[in-house]
Amino acid sequence: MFRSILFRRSRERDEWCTVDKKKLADSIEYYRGYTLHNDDGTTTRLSLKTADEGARRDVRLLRQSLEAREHIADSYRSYLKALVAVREEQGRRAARFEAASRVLDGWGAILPSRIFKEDLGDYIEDTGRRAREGQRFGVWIRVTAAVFWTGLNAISFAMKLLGKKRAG
Amino acid sequence: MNIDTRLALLQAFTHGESYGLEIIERVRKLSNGKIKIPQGRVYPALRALEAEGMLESYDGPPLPERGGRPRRYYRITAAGERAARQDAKALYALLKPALGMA
Repeated sequence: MFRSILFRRSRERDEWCTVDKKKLADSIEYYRGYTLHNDDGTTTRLSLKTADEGARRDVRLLRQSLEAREHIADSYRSYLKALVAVREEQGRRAARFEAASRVLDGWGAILPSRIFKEDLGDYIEDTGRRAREGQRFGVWIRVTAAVFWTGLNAISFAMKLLGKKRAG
Repeated sequence: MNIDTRLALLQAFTHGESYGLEIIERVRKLSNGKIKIPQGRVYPALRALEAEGMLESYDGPPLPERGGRPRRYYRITAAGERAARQDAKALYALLKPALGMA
């Protein structure tokens, strides 16, 4: 099996370049079922970690690139498809976290300042981590837990404060 | 494993300062995953320990991943360290037979 993939950059200019397969694999964060077709007839499945410059490109541009290059090698088409999938998934994750943050921010408006900053801040941090990991239900389970526990802690906080005032 | 949250937190803070989320993870790691403190119970316990003078706290810088909120860091006080040592001695005496050291 080859360590790099050969693909033609442009039909007109007959320009070819190679991409290191490991670098390619490391560049995509989320495996979406795409396979790289090697020039020896074998295939390589992508298992990926960090996003590279390509993965950060705008989804629209990647889509255009994918549609405009019908002639390109299967490997490069797979790569572009995977990049589009990664970028879309990153967008979904960010949107999930944004929605969860909005709910928690709204809920936090009625909480005491200390709980708003400390408890809710930790829940938001944890929710962000889960969203980045791609958890869908985990994010909303965390939001529900945050509302329950911060509500309970706020009630006990208020009762303690009242108790102190009465004792004073 | 059920264990007093206060005891677990005090022991964990002898390893250095920390904040809510991190201290839960520290307790879990130090106990080899046996002791898991629910996140909702940590904050009242931390505030109670602070009120008792076992811990002191301060706000860190605001962080974007927390929606601009700061982390609340806690560190153990001299009184807290004394209490943690006493707790550890009592626990050790209690656990000696089970550890085959009686």
